[in-house]
Amino acid sequence: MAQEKSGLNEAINETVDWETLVIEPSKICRAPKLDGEEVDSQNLALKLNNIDAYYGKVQALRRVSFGVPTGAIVSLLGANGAGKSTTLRVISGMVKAANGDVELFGEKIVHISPEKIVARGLIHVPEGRQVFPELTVEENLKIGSYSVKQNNKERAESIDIVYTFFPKLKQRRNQIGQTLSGGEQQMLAIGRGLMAKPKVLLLDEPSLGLAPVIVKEIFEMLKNLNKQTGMTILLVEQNASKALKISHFGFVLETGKIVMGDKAQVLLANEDIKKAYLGGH
Amino acid sequence: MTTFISTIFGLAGMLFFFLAFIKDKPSTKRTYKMLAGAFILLFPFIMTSWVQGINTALVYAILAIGLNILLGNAGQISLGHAAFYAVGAYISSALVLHAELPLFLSILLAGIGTAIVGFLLGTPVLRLKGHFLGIATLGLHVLIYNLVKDKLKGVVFGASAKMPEVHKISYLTKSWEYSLKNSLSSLDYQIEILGKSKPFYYDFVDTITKSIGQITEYFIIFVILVLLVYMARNILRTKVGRALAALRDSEVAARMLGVNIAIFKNIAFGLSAFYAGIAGAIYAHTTGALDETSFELTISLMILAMIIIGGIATIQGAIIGAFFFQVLNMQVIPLIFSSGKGQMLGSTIMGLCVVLAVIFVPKGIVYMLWQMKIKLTQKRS
Ligand SMILES: Nc1ncnc2c1ncn2[C@@H]1O[C@H](COP(=O)(O)OP(=O)(O)O)[C@@H](O)[C@H]1O
Ligand SMILES: [Mg+2]
Repeated sequence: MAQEKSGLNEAINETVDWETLVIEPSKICRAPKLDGEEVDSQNLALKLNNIDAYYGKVQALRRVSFGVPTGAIVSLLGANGAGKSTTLRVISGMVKAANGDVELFGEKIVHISPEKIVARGLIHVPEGRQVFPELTVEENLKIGSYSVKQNNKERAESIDIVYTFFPKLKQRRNQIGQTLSGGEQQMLAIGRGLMAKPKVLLLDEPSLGLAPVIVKEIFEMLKNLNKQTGMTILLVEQNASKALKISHFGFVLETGKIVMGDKAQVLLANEDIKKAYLGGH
Repeated sequence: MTTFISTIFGLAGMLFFFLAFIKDKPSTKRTYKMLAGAFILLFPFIMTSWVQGINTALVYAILAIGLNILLGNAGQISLGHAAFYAVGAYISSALVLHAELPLFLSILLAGIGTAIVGFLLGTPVLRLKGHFLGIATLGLHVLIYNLVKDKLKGVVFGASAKMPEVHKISYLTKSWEYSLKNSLSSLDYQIEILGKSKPFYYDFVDTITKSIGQITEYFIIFVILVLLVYMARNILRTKVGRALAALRDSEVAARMLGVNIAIFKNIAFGLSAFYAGIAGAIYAHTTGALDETSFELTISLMILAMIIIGGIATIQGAIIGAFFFQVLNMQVIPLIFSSGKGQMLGSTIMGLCVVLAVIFVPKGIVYMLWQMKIKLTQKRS
């Protein structure tokens, strides 16, 4: 069970009733700051309320509740198998929640199909990138714009915007997906997501299996993206310290439960967190 | 003598196609393309004995292009494609026989009708994946095949199961055939009664007269094929084509980008049924006899084999595969094995071809040609 793992959980369990609490960043702090920017933590882009999710009979999420403020970068941290990907899948509609609600800008989306959720401005860049191996970089990007009504000229402009964020993709524009390096594939997966002009971007372990230089490049890009466009980003990572450094908030999942949530700086400074998740970094 | 000329002509034609494909320099490429075009135009007049077989190859090419959209482009298997071939044949027959619609309109409507049938049947069937989808399409084939055999045949054709001459494509040039026959008999008259010598073009005109129906079919089917290739190319280059490719490469990723995969599976099924429907209609209006054996399961499997041998997911591959099989079947095999035995050995040899192709050129002939092309261009530079 989750609570058996470390001193961290015992400490939390003494103070908070985790079974019932809906963690919203607004409850944690009022005006978080990162690079001098303020985020209105009352205004939630995403809100999860007591989500239970199962794979067959195996319960993957237990009463998961948290919020993502509009315009913030929020990290969702946790060990392998904690339920991070499942959380994202529930949000994007790829896995149906057994109980609970997901709200996107105040509207319930928990019973809506993935296609319609995309159309409402939420993109989930999946674990393992999933670029289309036999389509070129540019064709991959074009599929990304599937949910937006735009003419060829507007689409070409969107593609150019993606290329300004990821100049490497421009060099590879006519290469097919499977011939790209891991880093380039990750960039393509993110770029393809951006083509849908999302208001909320979910990213599942973008750093997985990539060299530190590339990870740095991608995280820099995410920070810029958030700063320049105000896009809300929910970032799932095992690489906790790197993720928290570009985030406003962080939440920690352990065997399907949220066990902690706070401002990113606070989590970064937390000794227990360091021991459990930041070890080695 | 004529066999010799037609063999040389045929080999030259194949060479032109090959060179038009291989060559890179635009001017050279254009020259060979024009030569290949000339070959296409002259072919039925010179290789007259081949025309019927090649007409069948053209129809198979249409079928293969359609199945390739489903299998190669959208990644969904169908083992019962010949069912749609039958549906198209019967819709078009019913339209000319009972609604008395003009020939080409009914061929087009047969395509559209079959597409609708495919689109609708796609809904329950395409929820399945992989092996299960294969089995379900097999079941679909059995269902439609038996429906056609036991019910529709009698309803559409009555007792005869024959398409009257007037509804055949070859009927379009019936009047030319008559006038050619007339001029031939006047030549005969001049030779026999007036004792004139036989003009050098006599045999040529004689052969053309006998096969003018097939030649007409050849050109008509060819034009239809060109239109359908053009259509497939355009569809596959647009949003729909990309969505189908996304579906094939990763359903999950496609959904996550907002592609409504259910609809696109139906569209893929409908599109490939459209091609099968047109092919079936052409079949009905060329052979005239709608024997249910023409829609047997082996046809489905043969089309599948054509795509695999020709090259999956490319239009050229589908066409090359169809021609490869048909030429093997109609010309090469009978050449090696005279008479009855050839038929059975034919299927064996075709099966062997598939096995060999999967082992040695798993991506098909068209990829092999591309490899050759790449090697040649590298050598030069
Ligand atoms: N497709 C699936 N089928 C069955 N169980 C799954 C599936 N995906 C994940 N799980 C299980 O659900 C739990 C949470 O997994 P996941 O959300 O992938 O965790 P994380 O992304 O944090 O590594 C794990 O116990 C995992 O084994
Ligand atoms: Mg995961």
